[in-house]
Amino acid sequence: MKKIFNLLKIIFSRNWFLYALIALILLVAVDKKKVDIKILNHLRDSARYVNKYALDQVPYNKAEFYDASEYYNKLMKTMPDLKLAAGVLGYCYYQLGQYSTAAIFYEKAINENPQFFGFYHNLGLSYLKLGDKKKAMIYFKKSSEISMNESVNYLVFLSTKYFKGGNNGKLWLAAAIENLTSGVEQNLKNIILIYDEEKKYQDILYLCEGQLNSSNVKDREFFYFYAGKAAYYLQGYKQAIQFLNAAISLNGNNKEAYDYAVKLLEAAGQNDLVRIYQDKAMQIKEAVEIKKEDKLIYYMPYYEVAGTF
Amino acid sequence: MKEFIKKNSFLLLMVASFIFWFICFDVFWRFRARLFDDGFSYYNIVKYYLENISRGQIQMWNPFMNWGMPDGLNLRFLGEYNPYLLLPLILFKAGFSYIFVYFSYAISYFFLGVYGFYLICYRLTKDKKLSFFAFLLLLFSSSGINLFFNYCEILIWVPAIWFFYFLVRFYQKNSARDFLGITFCAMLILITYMPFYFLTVFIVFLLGFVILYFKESCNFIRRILGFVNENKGIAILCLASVLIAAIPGFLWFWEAGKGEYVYNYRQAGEAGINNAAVVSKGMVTVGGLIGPLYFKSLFSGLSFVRNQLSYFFLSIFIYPIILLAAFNRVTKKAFLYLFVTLIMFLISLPGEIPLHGFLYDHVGYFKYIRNIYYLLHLAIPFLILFIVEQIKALLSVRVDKIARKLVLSLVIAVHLGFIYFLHSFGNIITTSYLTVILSAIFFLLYFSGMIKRKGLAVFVIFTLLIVMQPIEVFKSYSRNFSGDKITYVTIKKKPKFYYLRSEMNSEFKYRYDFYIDATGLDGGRMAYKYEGLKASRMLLMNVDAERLFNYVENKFVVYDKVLEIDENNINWSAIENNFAKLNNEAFVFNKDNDAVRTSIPINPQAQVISASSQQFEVLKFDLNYIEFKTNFAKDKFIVYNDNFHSQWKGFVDGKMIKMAQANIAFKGLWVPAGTHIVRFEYGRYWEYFIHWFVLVYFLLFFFVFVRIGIKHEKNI
Repeated sequence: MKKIFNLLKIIFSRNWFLYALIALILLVAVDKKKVDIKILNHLRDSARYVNKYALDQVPYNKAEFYDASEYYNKLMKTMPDLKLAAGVLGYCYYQLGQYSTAAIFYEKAINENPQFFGFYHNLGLSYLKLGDKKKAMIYFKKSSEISMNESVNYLVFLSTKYFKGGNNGKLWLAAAIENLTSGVEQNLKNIILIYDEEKKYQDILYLCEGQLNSSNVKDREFFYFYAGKAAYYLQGYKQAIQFLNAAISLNGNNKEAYDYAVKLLEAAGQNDLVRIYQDKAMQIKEAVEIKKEDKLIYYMPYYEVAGTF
Repeated sequence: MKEFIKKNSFLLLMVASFIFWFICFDVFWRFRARLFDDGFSYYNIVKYYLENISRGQIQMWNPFMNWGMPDGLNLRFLGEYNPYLLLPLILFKAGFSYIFVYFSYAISYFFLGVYGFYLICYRLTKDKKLSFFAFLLLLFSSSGINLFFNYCEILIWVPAIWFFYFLVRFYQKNSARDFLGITFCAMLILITYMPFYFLTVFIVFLLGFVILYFKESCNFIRRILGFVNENKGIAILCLASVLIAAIPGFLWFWEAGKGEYVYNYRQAGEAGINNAAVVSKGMVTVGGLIGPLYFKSLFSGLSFVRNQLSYFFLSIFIYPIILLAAFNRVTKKAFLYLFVTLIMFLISLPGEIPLHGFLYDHVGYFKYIRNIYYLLHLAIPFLILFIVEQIKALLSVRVDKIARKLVLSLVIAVHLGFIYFLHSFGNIITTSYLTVILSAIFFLLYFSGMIKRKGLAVFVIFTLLIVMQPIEVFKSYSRNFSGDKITYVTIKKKPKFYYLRSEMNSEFKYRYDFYIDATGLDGGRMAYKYEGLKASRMLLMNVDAERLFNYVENKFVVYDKVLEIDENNINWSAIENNFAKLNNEAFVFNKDNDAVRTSIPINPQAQVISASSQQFEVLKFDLNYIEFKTNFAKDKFIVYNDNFHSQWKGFVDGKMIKMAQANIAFKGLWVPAGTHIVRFEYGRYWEYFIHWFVLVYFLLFFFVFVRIGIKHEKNI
């Protein structure tokens, strides 16, 4: 008995017992829900920052994105029925350079909201950043299959739900649709660039021709150039020179376009034109590298649960 | 030289550490990033104070903020009688740049506090190395961040540290010097913002001490009584000094209870019903520790930190120590330190646990405390003392061969477990992992007997373990703000009178310039935190902004007619109309009905004074008074659009004339025809006397205390 008592005395006279007591006090006394709400209230401003950043209203601030990711993570845990946070989290982690985590959240967002173009596109971009072109391509193609109307309807639904009337909702919707439209084109451009690396010129030509027939194209020069390049490699020289000339007429600084055009003209024996194009190409100081565009599609207005905070 | 270095090695180490700490925050003192919130306010508060005191002006009234208001709260924020303010004053008068003046003062005062903590530790542990570790833990903690974010906390914290230092000394050996030291620190605490923070910590500490050391407490009380009995003169002097130090706070509190002054952001209830110093429970709950601080933020995301770092941060090294210390024996000291820390932490959770609510309802002074999380900052030194006790215990452990395997396994398990714990959060900075790994290596070697306890290796490794991670965090903190700049006002200024408010504001452009004419409506300084006079707040709430601002643009408006209005039934549209058209009739309330004159004026419009002239000229202007010359053909009612307050007095040719509350919120009085000198003065003469008396008293007490201290050292 004495031995047991001494043992107990040794055990309970150690600091661990104090720690356990403190932990018990905190467990019993602290209202966890209020703690969660307080934290969410504090981090709310960072969630607002993300919306402003997406609308190009504020400069990039990594710390704000980190806090915003904390906000949405906590929101998802506090309100698990909330389906819209996954996409924002993907956006935040992408901005933080944590692409694999971004991919996880975009996949979750797609599971919950399969009708939105932006999630597929952003997931594709995440895989591109991770160097997985195969997977990136899968999602770029999937996003190109989503109808614009479905995506726009989704944005309209969001703007009505979260802005509850007023001018902010309209402004947000206009910006979101603009973002979506340029995102669709961006998506196609990324597909073309990957095809270019894979030398799939038939597919490139098909996509470019399709896009050039549309009236709603912002960057025609890009599609003309790649159509011309694809046609060159497919030995459609007449078609190629037409496309390349169109590209050059839109952007006289495209050195690569001149290079291809020169090759075609040399093959066709048009030496006068060759000299002219060569002179123009020499005036271009640097070839501009066309990079895959990595601007994310952002959809989410700042999410606030009314009455909770 | 060698002798000097050997004798003062730890002091030199502390200075070197401090310089290193200082360099971590170069982005602030090189002005590549701005100070934030109350860090910035204090920069301006101190500047404003120095500019005024160097001209011999006590800040009783602030004519620039919200059309004029009593300036007591800013002085309470500052603790204007602190003799340490002599340092910036001397530098300021000597012509040094204000940036240098402010940072010299602010940073050296902080160093004084951290050094005081070193001295406490040395008194308690008798070990210079352990005390140096405690110094480093405090220096590289959230405490220093408040220099750039909320200087108020440093002003509360430094005298508190020194109070405990003198208390420990007095406990160990009764001496008059230490008794004076305790008194002087108590005086400093009383004149700074909310002495109730310190009072709370002290009461909890006392409670814990009495419970744990009951016999020793009784002995100590007997010794105190004995000391008082033998040194009645000193005891009476100290008591009187504490009472004198309490006067400024009491006066401000009394003023805040009269109903004229409001602070709507923090005030609970209406002015006149509640003292303006009373804070609503909801206001305290909205603030609090949780939000900026949460469990994960202690470990994760430290490369993204911004001002939330000022709420609580200690080197990650404390956590492996705390974990290893789980197997240490509980000591009374350790229990006491942890007890104080825990209670302060629990009170700092006003919305999350009911303890603060209970104290708010049942302990009177809790109604005046707004930023409750300051309590945890005052408790951080106690937590560090606990850590240091555990380090001492760990380093005293003698591990025999039989227990060695177990101990080493525990060390590995604890550290591996902690690394896994960190990893689970993600976004962990490199030095966090490095610190834990190095700690594991150290303790493995130490408990294996490969590192000697009193060797230099322990000292060097511990120093590295303590500072490594905080340096990376502080660099991240600085980097995250780099480029976020604001314009600081650095040139010396003094109050200058402008007939039109917009003229003043066009010269003093910076939003935080204390000389800018700022109001709650145009954004001034923090529009949502309205602090000012109740009557002008009513105007801001009830009168169209454009019309009101067009009216108050003119500092002086002269009327021929004065009408009476019912204070309880104000026709706001008539007032608004009057302001818009500048009708030649001013308004006074029933209490000033002797100012009423209803004869119909010849000119339907009031006369606006927009510049000096034969009829009207401002002769002198400063914070607490204005003097002007009039020469009108008839009696005129002059309205000065600076807030009315019951302590303003009017004099015409040296004779006191009753001042009326005119046009809802402003000052007005009748001036007879002919040439006269009119003077408006704020405050009662005895208040000025008290201010100067308390200032001189503090300086005298401080010099007496220092002299006794030097004499005492020489005798030793």
